[in-house]
Amino acid sequence: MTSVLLALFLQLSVGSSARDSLAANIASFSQRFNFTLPLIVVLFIFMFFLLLKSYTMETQESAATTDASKPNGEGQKRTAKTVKKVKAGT
Amino acid sequence: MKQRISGFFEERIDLTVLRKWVKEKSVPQHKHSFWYYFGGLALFLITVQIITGILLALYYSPTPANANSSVRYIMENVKYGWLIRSIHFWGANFLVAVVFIHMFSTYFMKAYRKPREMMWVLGVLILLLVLGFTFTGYLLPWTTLSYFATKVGVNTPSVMPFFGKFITDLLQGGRGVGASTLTRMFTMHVVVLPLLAIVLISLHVLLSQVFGSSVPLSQRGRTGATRFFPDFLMRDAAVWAGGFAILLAMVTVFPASLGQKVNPILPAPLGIKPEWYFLFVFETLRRFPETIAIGAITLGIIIWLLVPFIDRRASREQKSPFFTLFGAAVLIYIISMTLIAYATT
Repeated sequence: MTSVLLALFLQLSVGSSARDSLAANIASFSQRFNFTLPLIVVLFIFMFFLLLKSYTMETQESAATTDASKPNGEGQKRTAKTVKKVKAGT
Repeated sequence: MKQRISGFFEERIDLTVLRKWVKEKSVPQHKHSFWYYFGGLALFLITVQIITGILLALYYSPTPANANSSVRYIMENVKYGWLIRSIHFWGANFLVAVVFIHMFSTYFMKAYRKPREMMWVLGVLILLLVLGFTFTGYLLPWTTLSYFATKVGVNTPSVMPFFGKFITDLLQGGRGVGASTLTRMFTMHVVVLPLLAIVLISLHVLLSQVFGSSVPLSQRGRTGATRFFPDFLMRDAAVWAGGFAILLAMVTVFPASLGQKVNPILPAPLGIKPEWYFLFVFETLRRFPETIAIGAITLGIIIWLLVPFIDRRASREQKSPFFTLFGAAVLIYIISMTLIAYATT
């Protein structure tokens, strides 16, 4: 994503003639210059939602194993590991 | 589809004024136009801080028992948690730097002159607010460094006459830095300061739309104009994208770390010093008697706030070299004190 953002930055920050040739070079990516920004915005929103999904899903996973003494189930996970170790005699 | 949506609004609201404004809004183009981008970049970084801050608040627990472990949990267990926290951490540093650059560029271009006096006052208040955000946010991970640095920070105002002790008590919420302080810092960080920020930033942006960008005195008669929609906005977006790319690069190469949970019974470790943007205040407090240092800093902030009303020459569209020198002196003082603090601690 950083490279896409950098490409946009370069495309917009260079002079108009250079920008036109740069835009022509990435014609397969975007036929029209005006199309680039909305596309980047849509891509960005899509990636942000993917990230948000992973980030927030952790709540549901940990909610089932929440130990009140530790935040968000951290303690429970460790306890479960400890129980396994105890059972295995280690 | 586009026509149906615009038709829906057309039937209900008169958009003629908005359309006219969009069509006519332009930004002056001259050799110092580069500095105009920092205001937009600051606004973008504030948005990044709000989004990442909300995400961090989903897991953060503001109690001495859980604060440090909840941040550790975010960084080690939550998917992309390290990324969100690192963006928030580096974003705060970037934001302070960008707001400082925006303020000094505005100062040296004398953009505070009539009729933009209140924009300047609001801008300085926003800088103080940003510093308030960083100060209140610093304690939240509840590490040894953040604990003892906050302890110094909240006790500093107590030497001020009249309301100094009140400020310390208000921030601390007890005899020392503890559970109440953490709750208060959290409340200020996520409720009080954001509400103030919404009001101040909205007014600042509103005034910038009403008055437009100021042209420096040296550039009068030498300016062109760029249409705001879509030309300047596209360039603004490119600067945001570039800024975000640099931010992500910093986050990836230098992810934020988390110190050990504090043990308040133990003595403060040696070499405690604040973040880089408070170093000049820290060094001033070290070099001068506390009361004098705090008095001078308070007076300095008041004078800085009132500069547009004192610099009458600039308001009459005349050059004011004294204020240029004054600004340069302030800037040199901040940089040199910061460097001295870095070198000696």
